Amino acid sequence: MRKKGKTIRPMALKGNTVSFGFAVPALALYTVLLIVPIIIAFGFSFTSWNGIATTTPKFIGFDNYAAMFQDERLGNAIGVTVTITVVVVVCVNVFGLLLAMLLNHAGKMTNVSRSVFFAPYVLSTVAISFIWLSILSYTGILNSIFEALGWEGLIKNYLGTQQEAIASICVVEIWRTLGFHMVIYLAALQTVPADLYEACTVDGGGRWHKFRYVTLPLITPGITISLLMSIINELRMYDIVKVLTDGGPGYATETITYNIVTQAFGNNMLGYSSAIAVFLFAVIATVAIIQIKVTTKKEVEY
Amino acid sequence: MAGLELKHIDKIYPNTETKKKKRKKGEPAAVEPAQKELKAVSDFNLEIKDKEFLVLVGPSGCGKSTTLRMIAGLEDITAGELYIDGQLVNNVASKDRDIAMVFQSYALYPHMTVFENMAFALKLRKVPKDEIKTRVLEAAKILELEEYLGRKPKALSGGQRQRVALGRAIVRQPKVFLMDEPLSNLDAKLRVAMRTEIAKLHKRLATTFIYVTHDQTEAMTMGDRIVVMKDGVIQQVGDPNELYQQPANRFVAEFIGSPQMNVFPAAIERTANETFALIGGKKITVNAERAAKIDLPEGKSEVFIGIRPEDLYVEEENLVKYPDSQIDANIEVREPLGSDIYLYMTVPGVDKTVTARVLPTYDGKMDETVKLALDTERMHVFDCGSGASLIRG
Amino acid sequence: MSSNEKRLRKRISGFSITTKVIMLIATVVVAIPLYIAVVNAFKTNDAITSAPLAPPLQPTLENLEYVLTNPNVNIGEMYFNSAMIAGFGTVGCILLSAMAAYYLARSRRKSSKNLYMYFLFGLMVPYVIVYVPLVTIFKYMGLMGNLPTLIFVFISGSISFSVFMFYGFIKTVPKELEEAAAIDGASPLRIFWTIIFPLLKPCTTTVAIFIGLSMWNDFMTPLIIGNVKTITVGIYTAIGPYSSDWGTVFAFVLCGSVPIIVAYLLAQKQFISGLTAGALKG
Repeated sequence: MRKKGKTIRPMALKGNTVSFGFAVPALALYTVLLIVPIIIAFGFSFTSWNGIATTTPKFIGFDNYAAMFQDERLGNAIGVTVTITVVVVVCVNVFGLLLAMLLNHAGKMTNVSRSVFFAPYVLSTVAISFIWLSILSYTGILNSIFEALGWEGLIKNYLGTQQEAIASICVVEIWRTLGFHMVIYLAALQTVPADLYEACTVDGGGRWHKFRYVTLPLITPGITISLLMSIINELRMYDIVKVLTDGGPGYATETITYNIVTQAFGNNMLGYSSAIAVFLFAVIATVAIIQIKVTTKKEVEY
Repeated sequence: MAGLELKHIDKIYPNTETKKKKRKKGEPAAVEPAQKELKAVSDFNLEIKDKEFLVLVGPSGCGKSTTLRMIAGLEDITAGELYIDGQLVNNVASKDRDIAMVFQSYALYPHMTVFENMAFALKLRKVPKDEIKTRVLEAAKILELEEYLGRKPKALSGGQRQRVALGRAIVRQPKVFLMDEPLSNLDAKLRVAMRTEIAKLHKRLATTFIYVTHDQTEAMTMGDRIVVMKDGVIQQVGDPNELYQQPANRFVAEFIGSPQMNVFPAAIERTANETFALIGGKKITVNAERAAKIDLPEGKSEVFIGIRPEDLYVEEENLVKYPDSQIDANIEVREPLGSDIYLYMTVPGVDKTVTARVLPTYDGKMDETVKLALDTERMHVFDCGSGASLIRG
Repeated sequence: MSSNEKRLRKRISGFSITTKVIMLIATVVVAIPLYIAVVNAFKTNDAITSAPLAPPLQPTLENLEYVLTNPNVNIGEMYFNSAMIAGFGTVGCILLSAMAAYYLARSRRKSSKNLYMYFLFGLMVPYVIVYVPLVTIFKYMGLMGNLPTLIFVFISGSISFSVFMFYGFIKTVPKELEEAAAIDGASPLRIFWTIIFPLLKPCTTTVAIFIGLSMWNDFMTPLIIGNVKTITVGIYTAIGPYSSDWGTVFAFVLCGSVPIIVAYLLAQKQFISGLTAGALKG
């Protein structure tokens, strides 16, 4: 049959089907400027290249990866990133859900509040980081307020020590992304049919029961998405650190991304920085794959 | 204006995604999902005359839409040859086949006005603006769409959208009109009205129409000629009367006509000058003229007998006409429709409900056992294996 | 709002005074940093230090004037660069991605599924991984500090998301429209531009907001690749990380954010739905 078909088939549908040509421009650009560089980065990660064009990259096998285990500065960066990720992810999701639940019943205020909460997410991270820098630094607004109130004891540089700086970064990031997650939860809550709550009331359930047995199970897909997105986002943290602390004091608040950039363009350790980037890629890809798995499963359910 | 010729046309879907899609549409994949390849249409042979109104009818998944889409050039032809106006068009793109198509979903461009929808094809063919305008206005007049030319499809009712879809085809002045279940999204009343409209349109345009439907009433009322399909194979081709009076097999017999023809197992017995039918142990005499036409294979007696509801009688005045072909039946349900009464009856020894269409004056009650006469002159006999009709001539 | 929801809302209204108060407080707290930035841009540094939360009683335009007119700052150039990147980047990315997604969504070939996966791969890449290779290549080819280069880089970085969004949307467009157009005599390219692309408008808006904003706001890419002075990089370098001339800082923040603030005020709904669409679409 196949042979027979081939002789007759060719042109009939050529005029009707979408040709591969449609995908070529996007495919070319995407491949050349994203996929190829990623492959090159993998290659670099096995070399000790310093980025000077006249030298050729020297292959050193897994030495870069081995070196990562000895690298205290990287260890610190991983610790900082994990701390920021955990704190921000927990806060943003817990408060995001709480706020969404309140907002769902706030009547006329809903729209205004949503717009205000979402606003920081729209502005550039550079802009909001500078706003917060002006609030948190030693000569900043927070300290001016404390001074005016006479709370001298509270006056200090809120970016001065590692702990305080990380806390400050978390506050800024929570403030920036809270509205985004709140909106996701708001959308998830609105998919819960109202009559389920009524059914729960009829069955004798109180507020807690409604939350535990109706809301929570039905917004699980929303929770999953929100959690995974915030994890991926925080693992990539860079901008706020760059503006707020520039990694300091010392390198105390460096995140993984910050560390990669510094190693690459500050210290010219292109090979080594690529190895760290590959490591970060592996971590984020894992989370992303989980996200894809979860979301495609959700699609099937509907 | 042109005739069409379809020679040995096959459509085979390889076992891929495409098949899944087809399945959604109710194409044959649903029947044999495990199959490696899927034969949607096999060995389709047909000559369609110029200006003919041809209807392709069959249950969903019979390959009728696939056939139409092959004619339209929307599906590859796996094997065989398709001629439009004497020209082989297997390899010709849709746009160059000079056909117009009305889709079940109408497929109106939602972002264009009614006028733009109708003018689109002409614009692409670089027809001068003035002529486009005349042709669109003319079509709009025929279809009574003049007031709506500036509206978008969203602002139209179902019937209006349907007419725009027709109008879009009319302005093209194509060689062939293809219609894929164009009325199935309309409500019952509108459907009947549009049936006449389309028939009128066919007369007025004097163009070849090929019309796909799953509704046998539509097929019967509209088609000059009807092609009944099942599982990708043509069952019978004929005019409405032929299909009704001389169905080629059990499938066509049961598919055409409403209420359905009663078909049940029976045995045929022949003596020197008489032929009998044994229905559930009861013996009736078959009309001699009809009996002569029964071509029973040697040594076979088990058959299926088919009799249409209107060929069954229960009224006193009719019973006397058929004294030799009466059986007992018990009235299960009585459905008065005003013009007729439908009786749903059980006959001893027959495991299917038998439907009879009787006079509105008939006064038999439910649960009553009555005499049921068969007009054996109009009886059908089918092979119990292949289902082919055993009536000759 | 369905009547069900209304009923529900009414029943909870006993709650709602507390709810409203809590929400009001939360909203004010979140708004304070934004308020600080706006009012203090119009104050002298002394006024900022002495009463940072007070409205500008004696407003001064000194800060803004410095930012807008100082030739060393050259905010016009920043705006130009950012506008070029966001404008050409967004348009380019949308055109390329919509076409690619159209092929991917409509192709009957098995390979197109894999190609779609290939496009989605970009969604799970931390972008920092490509900086070193890109900078190396661009330096070698003399393409650093070049606006067109940067635009192409931005497009390549947004293709995955755009293809993902368009693909899902095109799948919902009935195929019969294309078939009707094919019979009407339109070529595939024509079908795409006159039939499909106009129908993608809701999706195009979403994608445009999402990638347009991300390109406008991006800091890292223009900072590292080519050191092009966009708004973000420009502000960063102009202020420097250790400045404490807060009046100027706020003026910079305000000037750099004005287009976004205006756009957001005009189209909050579209912004919110556009930026969360990726997540909500899942």
